[in-house]
Amino acid sequence: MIELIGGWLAAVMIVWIYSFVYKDNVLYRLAEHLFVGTAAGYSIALSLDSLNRTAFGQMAKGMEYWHLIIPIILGLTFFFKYSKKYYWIARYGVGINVAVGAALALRAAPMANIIRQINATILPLWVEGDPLKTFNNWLMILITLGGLTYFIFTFFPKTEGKAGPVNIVYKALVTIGIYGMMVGFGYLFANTIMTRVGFLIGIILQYLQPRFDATVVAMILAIIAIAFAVMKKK
Amino acid sequence: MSVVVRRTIPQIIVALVIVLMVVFYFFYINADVSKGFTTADKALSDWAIVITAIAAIVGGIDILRYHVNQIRKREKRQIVFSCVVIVMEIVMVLLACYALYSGIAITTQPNFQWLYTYLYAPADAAMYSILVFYIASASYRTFRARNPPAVLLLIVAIIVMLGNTSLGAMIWEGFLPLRDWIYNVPNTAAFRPITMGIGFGLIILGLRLIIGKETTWMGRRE
Repeated sequence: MIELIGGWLAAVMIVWIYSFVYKDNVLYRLAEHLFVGTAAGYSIALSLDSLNRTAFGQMAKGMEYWHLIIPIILGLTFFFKYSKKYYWIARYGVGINVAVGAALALRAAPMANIIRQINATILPLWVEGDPLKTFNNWLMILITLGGLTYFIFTFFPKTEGKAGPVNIVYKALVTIGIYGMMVGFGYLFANTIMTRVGFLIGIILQYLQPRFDATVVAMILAIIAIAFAVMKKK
Repeated sequence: MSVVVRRTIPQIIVALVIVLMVVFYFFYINADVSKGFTTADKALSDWAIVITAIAAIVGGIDILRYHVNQIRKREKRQIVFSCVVIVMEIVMVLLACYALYSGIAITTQPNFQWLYTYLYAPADAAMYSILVFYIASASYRTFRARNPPAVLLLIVAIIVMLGNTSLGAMIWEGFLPLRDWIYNVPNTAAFRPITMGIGFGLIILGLRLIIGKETTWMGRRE
């Protein structure tokens, strides 16, 4: 019985949320607020769980973990943001988080984001007996250099007057960079569409098809709510 | 309180933590220092996790405050919906507290699990996938061949979509290898400068925090 109610609830929620595609209506808003309330509660619940495992659970193990009382106090300083007079106390808690995040990023970025990328771009420009590999390597290097040239905003070679060799090379690299990035964005866009459509099909198969009766009832109710919203606007 | 306590000391703490965490990570002094650093580093990471957890709780309380204020203002159109949000949030938190009190994992509490499975998960999936309808209209605008780069984007997107589906393989078997080539060569090369740009951005952000130029994290200005 409880699973039947759950199945109905899931199907109804999905149909009512999708009803927004046509027009904002009262049933969409109900589903939206049910979702917001549940999501907020879920987020707090997960945080409580994390706090229990990382702080209180550890502190119960022994005195060597009692330093965790400091982040608890620093975290509680966040509540000072509601005060007009003492809001600055929250900066101490926020500061630690910002600093740890920035330090972790600073440690990883030079190697992962820069050196490894440069390393991977240093490729042989001639591969004996493999013209495709040679072509791929040239393409890799030119698109990477082109993209980098495109993102240089601090200086531009002179564009007025007769174009010099630097200007020609610069323009050629920027064009290659733009076309290369268009290929990348095309790939990204196609993948995004495929992922979303895949999600939609998954929802239909998992929630709507097994509870077809609930889907039909929810759709009828959504149509009435939309009609009501349209009439109200008129 | 003086500006020193309100602004300068938090900035100094941020700069100190960043410098110490970065310097001791990259430079080896001796075994004792290295061991001490590893312990302190682990402790600081735990601190960040604890603070983040409390920040998320504060965020949840913010939502609650907003809806309580809506009810207080007696907004006719919003009052019922605000009550729904408050009730659902409190129910979820109470179930979580009950699970903690019972000594079981929150996500295994039967009522919590039921709400997650039949309310949160489908609604979350629906909210995520609803974008497909907007992407459809965006596709129409994107896939218009206005200039050569747009034509290239259109061709690549069509090849990748056909390469991802069985329909593409039925039309021409070469779509799948072509999709893989696009992914491995031009796509990888195109995102390389972007990845490097992100890296430079992160380094500059860290340096700005160290020298106290970056102040947005401190919130409102005085």
